[in-house]
Formats: sequence, C-alpha cells, structure tokens
Amino acid sequence: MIDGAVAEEIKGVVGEGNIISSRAGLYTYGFDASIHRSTPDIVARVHNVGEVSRIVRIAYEHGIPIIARGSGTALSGQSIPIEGGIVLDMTSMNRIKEIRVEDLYCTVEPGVIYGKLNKELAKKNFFFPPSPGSGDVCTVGGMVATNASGMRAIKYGATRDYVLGMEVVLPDGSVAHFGTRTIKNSSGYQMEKLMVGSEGTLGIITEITFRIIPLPENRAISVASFDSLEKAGQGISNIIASGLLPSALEIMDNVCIRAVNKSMGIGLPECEAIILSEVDDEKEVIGRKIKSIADICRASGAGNIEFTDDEDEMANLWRGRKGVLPSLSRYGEDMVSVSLADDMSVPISKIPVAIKKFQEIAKKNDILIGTYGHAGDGNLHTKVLINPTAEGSWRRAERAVDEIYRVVISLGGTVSGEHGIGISKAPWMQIERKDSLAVMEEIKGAIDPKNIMNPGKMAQWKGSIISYLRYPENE
Amino acid sequence: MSEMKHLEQIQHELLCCTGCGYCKKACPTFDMGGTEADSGRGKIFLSYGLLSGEIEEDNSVIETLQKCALCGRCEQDCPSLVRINDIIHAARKDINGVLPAHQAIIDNIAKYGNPFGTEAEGVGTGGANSKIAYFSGCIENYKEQGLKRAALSIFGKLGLDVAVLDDTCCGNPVEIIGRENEQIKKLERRLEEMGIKKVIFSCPSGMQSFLPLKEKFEIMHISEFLAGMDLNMENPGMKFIYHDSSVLGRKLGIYDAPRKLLDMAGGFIEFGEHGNLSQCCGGDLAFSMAFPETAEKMAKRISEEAKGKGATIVTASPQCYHHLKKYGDVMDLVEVVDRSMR
Repeated sequence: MIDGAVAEEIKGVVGEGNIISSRAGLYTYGFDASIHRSTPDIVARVHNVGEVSRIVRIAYEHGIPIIARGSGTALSGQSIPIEGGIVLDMTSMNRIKEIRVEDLYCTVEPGVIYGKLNKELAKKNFFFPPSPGSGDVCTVGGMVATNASGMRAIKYGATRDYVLGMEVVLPDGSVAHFGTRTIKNSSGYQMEKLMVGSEGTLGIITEITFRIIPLPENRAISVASFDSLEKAGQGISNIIASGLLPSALEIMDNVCIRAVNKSMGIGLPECEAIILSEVDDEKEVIGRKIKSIADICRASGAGNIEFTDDEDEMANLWRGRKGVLPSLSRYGEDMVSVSLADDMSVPISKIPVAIKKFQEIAKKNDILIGTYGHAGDGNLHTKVLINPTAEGSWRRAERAVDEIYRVVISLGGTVSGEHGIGISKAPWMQIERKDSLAVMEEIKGAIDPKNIMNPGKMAQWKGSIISYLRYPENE
Repeated sequence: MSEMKHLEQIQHELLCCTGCGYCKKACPTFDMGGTEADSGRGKIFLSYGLLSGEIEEDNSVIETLQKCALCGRCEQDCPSLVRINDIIHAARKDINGVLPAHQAIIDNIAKYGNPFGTEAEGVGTGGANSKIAYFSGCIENYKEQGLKRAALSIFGKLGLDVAVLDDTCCGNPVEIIGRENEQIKKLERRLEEMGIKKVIFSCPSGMQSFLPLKEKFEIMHISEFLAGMDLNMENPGMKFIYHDSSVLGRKLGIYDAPRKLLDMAGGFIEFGEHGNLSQCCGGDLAFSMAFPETAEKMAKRISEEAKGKGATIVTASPQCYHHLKKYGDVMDLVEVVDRSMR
C-alpha cells in the first residue's frame, strides 16, 4: 500500500480528476487479457511526458512499483501490478503528432490506438503494418512494449522493424531520447530496439517514431481446405520454400474453424485445417501469385480451394481469423478459452512436427488445444480450452503448457513470437534464454537499480504461473 | 457477503469473457469516460469480483455497475458472444445499494405511477370497446405530449378506435436499475380487464418490459403497426437522418419498419454507424437521470453528425427524442408520419 502523502503527491501532478482510487476503479485496473489479476494501489491517467516524468520520480524516491498500461490487452499479464503500486494509464496520451510521408515516418504518443493510426495513414496511402489481432483496441505503446505483430509479419515484419526512435522516461524520472527519425541509423547502441519488448521493465515510453510504408494497391486471398492438420502444416512449409512471399499465410485447425463459424457465422469450410493465404501486389502479379500458392497447396494435399479479391469477403475472412482467440470461449458447454501457451514460434519447416506433438500433448493431458496462427512465419497460437472451475484443470493445463514449451525449445523455437513474456511464459523463457538471463538482469539492474519498473516479471518471475489467477482456483 | 444468486446463474458467461477488450471499440460510456470501469469488460470483471467475494459492494461499485445505458453496442463487437448486458443486469439485481437519482425514480413510480413524480395528466380516452390499446409511455404522457397527440391524430386519420393507456408507467426504469417491476403486473391485470388483445407501443423500452407477456397479448411497436398500413404520404420537404434507438434496434430487432415509413415520407439518410452498430444517445431514463453529463456528451456526438450532414434526426423512441432534442433538430417518427399523411 502506498501512503496517503504519496497519493497526494501523485494527485498534485495530474489533478484529482485523473486519479482512480475508488474500490471499483482500482479493481478493474487489476486485469488484462491474461489469466492473472492483482489490484494496483493507485491509477493515474497521464497526459504528457512531464506528468509521466514527475510521477516516475515520485515512484523512484519512495521505491514504489510503477506499471505503464495501454488498453490492457496483454495476454501474458504484462500490465498486471503483481506487487501493487502505481499504474499509469497511458491511453490519454493519444495524439498523432506528425505524419511525414515524404520522410517515411510518423511520430505518435503511446496511447494511440493502432487501428486509428492506420486509418489516418490510409488517408495518405500509407500504413504501419504489424497488424495485431487486437489492432482495433490496442495501443501502439503496448505494441512496442511487447514487440507485437500479427498476420502480415511474414512479409512486413514485427513492430521492432518499424521503430526508428522514441522518448523514454527512465526509472529515475529523467527523459531520454533513443534512436532517430531517419530510415538508417548506425549511431551507437540501438537503445530504441532494447526498449522494444522490454514490457515496461526498463522505462516508460512517451513518444514513438515509426517507419511507415506505402499501402499495397491490391490484395487477394485463397482458402485451401485440408483433411489433416499436418498436411496443411507441410503446405505452409512448401509455400515458403518456393520463394513466394505472401503478405499473410495463416493456418487454422478444425477446433478454431468451428469456433469462429459458431460464434461469428464466418462460413469457413469445416474441414480438418485450412491455409488462408493473402498476397498483395500489383493487379497483374496477384493472380499469378495466388495461383502458384494454390498449386502448391494442391500438391501438398489440399482439397477445395477458394479465391476472393472482394473487399467485403476479405474483411469477413480476416474478421474470422482475428476472432479465433475469443471465439474459442464458445467452443464447448463448460470449456472456456484461457490465455496459455498462446504464441510460440518455431523454424517454419518444423511446423508440421510441432503441430503433431501439440495434439499428442493435448490428448495425454485431457485438454483441448486449438491450433491456429501465422504459420508462414513459424508463429503458432495454441489455445488451451479448459473448464476453469473443474478440479485439477489448471494443474493439467500447466503440465501441458510445460510439455508444449519444451517441444518448442527442442525444435529451436521461442516461447513467444509476438505477445511477450509477462508472467504466463516467464518460466519457459528462463529455460529458453538460460545463457542470456544474467545479461538481462545486468541490464535491468543498471537501468532500474531500485527495481520499480514492472517488477517481478520476465526474468524475475519465480514459481508456478498458476498464480495471481483471475479464475476460481479449485486445486 | 451478500448473496449473488443472479450472478451465480450467469457464472459461465462471466468465465467466457477472455478480457480481450474488443468491447471497448465502440462503447459510448467508455468513449466518454475512458477508464476500465467505464467499459463492458470492466463491469464484467467487477461482477466477477462480486461473485467470487473478492470485492464488496460500496458506492463506487454501485456507480460503476449503473453507469451503462445497457445499449448493447459492446455485444456487437464481442467475439466471444458474451451477454454483457445480462451480466451487468444480474449484478445490478444482486447489489443492495441504489443511487440517489435511481431511488427517486423508484419512489416516484411507486407513489405517482411515473418516474418524474408528477400527477397523472392522462386523457385515457377512446376505445371503450376496442381490442387494441395504445400504450403511450411516460415521456409522451408527462414530457412530450405532442408526440401522443401526433399518434392519436394518426389513429384518427386512419379511423381506428384505439384504447389509450396514458396514465401509468411500464416500470422499465425500475427494471433497468435491477429492481422488481411491479408496474407490469398491474398493467397485465388492467389489460385483461379491458379485454385488450393487441398493445401498440411508441416507447421501445415499454415494449421491452412487455415482452414476457407476449404470449398473452400481441405486442408491436407503432412503427411496425403503421408500416403494415396502406398510408398515403407525401414528402414534408425535409432532409431526415434516422437514428436507431438501442432498444428498438438491438433489443427488439426493429430496423426495417421505421425506414419503410421514412421511405414513404420521401426518404432519409443514414448515420455513419447505423442499424445494429448505431451509437446510443444516452437517453435511457435511468441512465440519463443518474449520469446527465455522460448522457449529454453521447447525445451531442449524434447531434453533431446530423448537423454536419444538414439533416433533422428522426427517432422512433420518445426517450431518445426527449433527450436528443436538447441538443439539435429532432422529430419522432409519429410526428413525421402525422405531418406527411395526406
């Protein structure tokens, strides 16, 4: 608990109207889209770098944990204040400060919603490509903090690839400017890249300069049906090996297909698995590319293949794909979807073997796993479906997650491709990055010696992830 | 700890919420307030806290749960199809405390039969032998009598003998707050005594409260009733923009009938977000009386869009009409029909 005098100091910075200290208000800031929850002591809605700097200074002087929060869509508990303290609600810092297409960059505050930024950029025929599934609601600050990406990463890369520079409030309250506004930069340590994926453990981002690129003129999609998930996995590998570069290459298994059809009425073919391929290019090239992809799918065992370049139909397909994660909550009577083991990445050629192993693990542990994801870049989403009130379900799920991650690591993969570590993936990141943990801790200690920035997460997490659970724990 | 029997019944819905936050995308109270507690997700989390006993009721809990017009816009964006309104409503039923503005509504309905605490001014005329009743609702009875006159004028022009129930409230605001609606039971008895078979509503909320009685009475909105008639209408020379009331649209599924009537009256344009994606104006009585500032901002947003398009808003909900007219040009659909009928 922070004492009343400190609360008054914080109130003095942002004004009473921007403080949340009521029981209900604080309780609701204890959640994100993960399985965890923990209530902060105070929430301050900040509006500029000056306010952030002053509040961080207060936290520094009193040794109080401080956690930046955007829209709270993190899937691994990154925005959960597990040691209480101050939560900074960054969503009011939502100005698009500058869009300079002639210099290929835009400068924004961290609370800008990704979808809104792209709406503005589209007016100038440009875009910021990472396209996370939560893009309509997530903030770009959160995207930087987790190095988020999405279905177009195969061609366009992740958030990291677009960060040119940023303004950061360091743990002592000082303000630093990392990176540049230039496309190229070989000037010293790439501190701005270090901040990407740091999940609020090193500082608080208050402004970001992103590289932007021209919007592709045309897109087309093909949907290929397969009678086995492994064949679809092999199809993905074959497309990549052919040298074609789709703008998206997604896989969905039968569990996911049925879930989105049931809850969203998307009308996907109800086979064992589909590959959803998107190409973007000039009109005359698109037809040839999408046909080549279809030929490869057919040679890999696809049955029916459908095509569309209709904007509404494509939007509907992407809506279905983006809705997989929450739709899985409607899959069974008692089963709900929980955010566990949700975004591992493996070398692309290892996808078929990874999928096969995941299904064996699900069967062995008596849980359901839906598999989908940006398979074209090796990034899979396995969604664990459990009855959260059934005895032993969480421990079974944790066991399955452990087995899944050990398979991922043994295949040369990573436990998180795009959602980040937070709490839910921390034990396995510590296994995966065993020989870099000490360096990570050195960096953390050097920049945040009082350990006030989002403490207890990532390399610092200890113990079972079935902790700070937001669900009933019937163990 | 209080008993949370309504939330217990809806526990699976609560657990289906993944916390993805898509409900924030177009929630009007979240747009205006911007805090987690303003969002659908925040209210679900809070409801879960009440059910699990992690949080106890206090004024902030009551206010958070009531600060929602139950417009259902969030449910249109929820990929988990969570019945967000049902969860919030269950939580309202399970909490004990009541906001002062809501207590006044409850007391007024109990004492005066209407939420405003004014004596009844109803005419209660006509249709002694009619099997059809027109339930005009408290906005038309006490605040916007012009709308009632327009409806009665239309019935007159059509030569219809309709019994008018305009001296009592349907009790919907009490229901919305999460308390037992005693009014509807009284109305049921009265309609039975009058031998009524069909009830026509101008207020969508009134119609919503009557839904449990739909096996006993044929119930319909006045827009549906009129759209089914052979009306001879002419363009009154105005540019209209139709606003879907949240209750008429998302709750009752009535989108086409008002549009058909406006087409007959010379046409109309749409809001950028319309139909099931329509923005709530905040005019719900229980909401606007307890949270007037938020309700004002919600209405102004709609008014501004209409002004920008140079059109007069048409609504088929007296609650929306009464609220929106403080901020811009608005007509109720019955006024448009009455004015356009030859």
